[in-house]
Amino acid sequence: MATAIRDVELSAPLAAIADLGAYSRCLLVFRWRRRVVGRQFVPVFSDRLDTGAIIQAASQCGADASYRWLADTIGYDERDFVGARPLTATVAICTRERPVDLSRTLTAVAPCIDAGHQIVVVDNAPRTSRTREVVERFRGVRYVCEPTVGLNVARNRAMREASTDLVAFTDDDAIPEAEWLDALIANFGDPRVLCATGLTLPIELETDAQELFEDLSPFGRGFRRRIFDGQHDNPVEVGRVGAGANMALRRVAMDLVGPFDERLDAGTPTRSGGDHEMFVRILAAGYQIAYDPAALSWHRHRRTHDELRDTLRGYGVGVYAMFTGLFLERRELGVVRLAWAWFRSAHLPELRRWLLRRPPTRTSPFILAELRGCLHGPAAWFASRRLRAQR
Amino acid sequence: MIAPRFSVVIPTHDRRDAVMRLLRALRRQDPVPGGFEVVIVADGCADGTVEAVRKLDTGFPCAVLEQSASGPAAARNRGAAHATGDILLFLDDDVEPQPGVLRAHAEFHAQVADGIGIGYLEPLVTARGFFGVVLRGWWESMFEESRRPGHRYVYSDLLSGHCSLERRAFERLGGFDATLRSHEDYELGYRAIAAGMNLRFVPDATAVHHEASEIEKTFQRKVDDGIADVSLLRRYPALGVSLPLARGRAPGLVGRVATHLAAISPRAGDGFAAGARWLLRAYERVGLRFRWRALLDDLLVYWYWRGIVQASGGTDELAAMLRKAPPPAEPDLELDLARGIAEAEHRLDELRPPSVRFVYREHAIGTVPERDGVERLRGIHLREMIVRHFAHEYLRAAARAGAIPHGLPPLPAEIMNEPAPRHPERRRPRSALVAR
Repeated sequence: MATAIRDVELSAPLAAIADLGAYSRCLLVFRWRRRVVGRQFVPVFSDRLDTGAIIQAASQCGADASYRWLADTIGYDERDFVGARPLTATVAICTRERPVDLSRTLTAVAPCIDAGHQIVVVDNAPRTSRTREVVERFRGVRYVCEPTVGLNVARNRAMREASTDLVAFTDDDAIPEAEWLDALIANFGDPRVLCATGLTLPIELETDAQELFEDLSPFGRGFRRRIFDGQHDNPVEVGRVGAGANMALRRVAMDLVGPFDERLDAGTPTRSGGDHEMFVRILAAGYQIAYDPAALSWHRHRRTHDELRDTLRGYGVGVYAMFTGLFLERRELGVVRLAWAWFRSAHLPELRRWLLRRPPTRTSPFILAELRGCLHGPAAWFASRRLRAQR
Repeated sequence: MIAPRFSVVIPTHDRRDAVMRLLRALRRQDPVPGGFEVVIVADGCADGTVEAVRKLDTGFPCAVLEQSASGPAAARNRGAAHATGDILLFLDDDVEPQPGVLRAHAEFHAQVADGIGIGYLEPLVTARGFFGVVLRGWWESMFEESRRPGHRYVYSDLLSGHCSLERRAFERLGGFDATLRSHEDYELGYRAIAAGMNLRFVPDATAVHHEASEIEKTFQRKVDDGIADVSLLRRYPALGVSLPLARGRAPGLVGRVATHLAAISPRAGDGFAAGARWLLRAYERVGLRFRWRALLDDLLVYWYWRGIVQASGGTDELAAMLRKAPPPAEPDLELDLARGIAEAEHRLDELRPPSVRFVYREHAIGTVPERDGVERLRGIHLREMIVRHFAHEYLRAAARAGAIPHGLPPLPAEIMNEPAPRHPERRRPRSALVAR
């Protein structure tokens, strides 16, 4: 059965949560003065959760809520820097034939135009005019058509089209919160920060496929701000950094570390990995990436098992294609260890189960699909390189 | 002739092209009331710097002084003695100030009495590969703390490559110590803080720093740093614990062996370090980033240590010097943070104490001990100190006093039962709010 998702504001008096009859569990998202400080899955036995169960769940969340209270009480923001200038941003949405989703995303981000920021929609190799028609309904949103297929081609186009200090990317199937853009921008006070990523939570867990995705590949990276520093951290370990669905970059990053690698990500044989490869180059050049959970966006996961299987296979292809490129072109030996660690912890147990003909679990088919993707990754990288050379 | 408001003092040694670039950048400065003059001190230059500068039509008064090679500190003193402006702006010859630099320093001195303005040096590193990345990181990290609004300034924040102060204050302090080959700016920073001057970062004063150092030059600079730090320790024993030399030897095996050898036979140590330098190249060639970094750190410690041994005469002598550091005095001031942050800030601004003890009602939070070479406390330091040094202690004390709101989940046991450190302020500063 499905999982309900409910907000709990800890700074206000708690109330029981009702109308849970259709759900077997509930994902409680805890906030302190709107800022998300934790989340817990709670089983639902009747159609409601009483305050006792909510308090019990909140107590599992650790100290993050207390840290927020401390920052509020003291009046301190660790993102403040002397002389930091106000920065302008362009919200970039790279999309392809998803007008309904796009309309929802644009509705969520449209208010930032009134705050002096810009929005650009990059329509990637469109087959119809539906995307353009949606964009025309939103005042001040710019439409750009990028005829060459590829998500990273579209991202580069967005970076070139923008004239602001920063470019913030959101996926067309995500709904950023009102504070999202300001929260991302606030992380760029330190000149070493070239990129900021935010927290992404599921907007619905209505189907089994969506619940499985949240178990297998959650976007959330915790509830404390974190700085990934290329001077100290391993640049190839970027799985924890965040994802392209919720990130902002300084526009000068294109000059400092180069553009997005157009051989990677959706629209090419490699299918994903284009965002992570950019994170690797930022860290390898010694810059920083800030992960800030205050930049919250809600993502609608794929609803069917087929879509989920295909998505996970795509992740496998993209990650191993990225590893191949990093190993061959940048001599990043660290990817070998990382590939082995991932295989041993995630894929080897499933492979063993399959070889020994043990009964599969709920997640087995999807993990094996991911593994098949991984095995195809290196070939996909070479295929993508060949295609790019022909262009 | 009316004296200009600013005198830009530039010491240089055989970097003709860099000096020309700097002069061209000064030509593009936004106008400042009173204008400016430039004093270039050619310190043992043999590359035609003097002739080239004299030929250039700068558009502003520009004097060139020549002296035999005596080091940048002596050159700066010479330039300052020749200067006629109210405010001295020291710039190194490898920087390129952006057009607003003079204006930013002028605005700073209009706002802060007895100020020393430290400008931003934006690193533009020539070195490639791993070393280029690390070198840029070092330069950026120099400004990491000063960029924080609540930073408590310390003697080593003063960078002579880009700083400004009133000429009379410079004369009162007695100028740079010309006997030091390195860290002469730290030494001036020490005396400036002791004299109650206000060091501040001036973020709008940005100069591009064309950093052309290669790894060998950095090793040589580390030797000079070691020699200079021994000299600082001799003069100011209370600085002991804050100098890198007090923090023990190199962490890695290579560093330990090399420094051990250096104490017995510097020649053997240097030979060993040369072998390690070869290994460093090999690590980079095969892309072993972390091994390379660890080995580089070892080598840097080794060369720093070589300087220390050279200047102190050996490890026993150094230990004897470190023992001279007096123990910090207990604070006279106690602040109850339960009475509010604004009240505590006001008290700190009013009293400017060297140290303080924080409590939350009857529950202890922690002590900020007196430290030599660090400015006295101000109200603006408070929030930063609590969050970065006393976050757990504050939460614990507030919880015991029943001051945490009911809606918040109880503090986890690992925070409630954490033993209170004797001097939390001595821990590496990091915000509890930022995971690492």
